[in-house]
Amino acid sequence: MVIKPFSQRIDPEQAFQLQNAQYMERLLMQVTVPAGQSTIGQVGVSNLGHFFCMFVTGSFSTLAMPAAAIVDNGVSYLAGQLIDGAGQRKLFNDRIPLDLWLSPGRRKDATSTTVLTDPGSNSLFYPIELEYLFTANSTIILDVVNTSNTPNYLEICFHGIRCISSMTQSGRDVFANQAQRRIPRRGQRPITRGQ
Amino acid sequence: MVDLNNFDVLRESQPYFIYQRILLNSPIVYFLFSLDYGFYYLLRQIHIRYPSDNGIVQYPNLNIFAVQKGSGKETQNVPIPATLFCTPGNSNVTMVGALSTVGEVKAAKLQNIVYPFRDTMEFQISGHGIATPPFVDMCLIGYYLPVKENMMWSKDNGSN
Repeated sequence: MVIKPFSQRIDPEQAFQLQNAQYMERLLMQVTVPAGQSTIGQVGVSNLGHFFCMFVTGSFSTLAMPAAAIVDNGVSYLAGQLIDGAGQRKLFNDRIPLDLWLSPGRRKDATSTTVLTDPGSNSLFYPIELEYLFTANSTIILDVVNTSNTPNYLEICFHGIRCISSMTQSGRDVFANQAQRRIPRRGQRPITRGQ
Repeated sequence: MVDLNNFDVLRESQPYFIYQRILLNSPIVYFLFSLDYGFYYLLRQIHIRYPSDNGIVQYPNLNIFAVQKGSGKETQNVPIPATLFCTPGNSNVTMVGALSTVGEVKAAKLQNIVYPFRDTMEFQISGHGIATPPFVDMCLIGYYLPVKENMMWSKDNGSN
């Protein structure tokens, strides 16, 4: 068996050059959902470049108030629908209970009056695959509803790769570069650099 | 590398999760979802959750039979227990009325089944044997993939 050290499998210079153009990034969405209402949670994808999401993880609370005190009864009150803000493209057919598509899922919450005896938070098992290209300067939207009679909380982390746009990376206008490569029509002077 | 040339192509496919709550009020109930024209559907995983009673699994014989009408192939010999290839399964907490307690998403077997466009995905769920009809929450994890032959995706709009 031939063992290759990590430094021999990865060319640091090449990896660093690649990393200048695209690198791993995480976007966190935190939402407080009022009692018995729906709300829109969102996280922005900045204009640094497109965000290629690959995995999603998340946790949420399961709080209710059967009497005068808030308790954690483990019931799934939150359901959400993920939407691409660019064009409002829906990625789910309906609001889906969060525990069906998020790992680790349920977590303890400090606002519970029985927090000391509540079950422990779930551990991350594996991230759910969600491969999608979110465009630069757009938003990731979660339309989420809470059927509990007390507010509930959720956090969703989008794991992916930020693809630096060539405009940002090189400082040049990519559309100007496209125009330079355009084939001139008959009788038209070719477009050259500097014009 | 995402650039102007492949940006549109990458944006054509999208994840699409399909959720349905199913009431088991007959020996066999159906999960049906009709696909739109223009997209294949790549099914990756099936997430399913069913209630239990104080940690005792109430419906141990919950079976799924996935029917593939479009391909005309039989991919299962018999209905298979959901616990053998789905997650999160038993939620381990007593149901409260119509509410469902949380499960914990763990490993689910990858399906990797492609359904053709305009097909109807069909899952037959059977096996429960109690007096009170329970419900099952089912979520399909998958992707819409565009049909490249279609004019809307092939970049040929007739004006070239």
